[in-house]
Amino acid sequence: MQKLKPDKDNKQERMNFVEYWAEFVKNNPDKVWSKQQNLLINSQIKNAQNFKISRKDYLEMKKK
Amino acid sequence: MKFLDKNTIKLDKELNELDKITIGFTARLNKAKIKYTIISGYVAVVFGRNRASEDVDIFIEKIDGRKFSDLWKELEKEFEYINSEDREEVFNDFLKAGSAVRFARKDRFIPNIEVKFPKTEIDVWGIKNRKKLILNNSEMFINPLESQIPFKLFLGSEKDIEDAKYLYNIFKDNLNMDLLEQFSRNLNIEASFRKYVK
Repeated sequence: MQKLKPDKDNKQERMNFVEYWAEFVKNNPDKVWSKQQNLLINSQIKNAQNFKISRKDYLEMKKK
Repeated sequence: MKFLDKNTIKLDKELNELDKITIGFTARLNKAKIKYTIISGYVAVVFGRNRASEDVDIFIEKIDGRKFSDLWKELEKEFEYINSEDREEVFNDFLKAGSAVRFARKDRFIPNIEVKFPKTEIDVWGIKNRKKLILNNSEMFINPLESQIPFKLFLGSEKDIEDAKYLYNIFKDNLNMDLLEQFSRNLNIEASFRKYVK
């Protein structure tokens, strides 16, 4: 697998990472990539659950 | 991940919180025999896209109040509508009126499932032509990637463009390119497709 290279700006670097991660997912078993992915998704959900906001305010925020 | 046939993809992954709520919710939809298709961000996330998401978007076929009542009874075993406990209000004032409604597990509202009726021809097409995803041992249905990728580009935010690029990179050897191009033409995003995805 090729190394991830730096690029001219943040946007392009993000796009490069999307390609890099897609290659990693394609070339590794589901259990391997999902374990790494879950670190991000589960921690983000846990953080959101801890955020003090009412249901009403949450729905208003999602409308916007 | 592997294609079992052209309409069925199988994943055998470690489940995250979004996967778990989606499995729980779609099992209730399957049991109530409601046709649906999962759309938008979760379609990328379930196949590994590494980004934050707290909700899952689903189109369900247009159903009448009686069938919605059956579905509600099934859903309330595990879920609740976030902003109301009145089934008729949820159906008549929100869902039927074209708004999305959000269901979450009891006593929390993140993660949640956003449910809406299809509005456009493409939405209806997506339900009719949905693909089966076997996630570990659970069956669920997702929107065809050939419409999902162009639609993400049509939405056009950085996150959506990255989702489109990711899905294309993962599935480019299995996509119906004629169909993908047709959707790209219809949504007038061919330039974005060339610039960001290919």
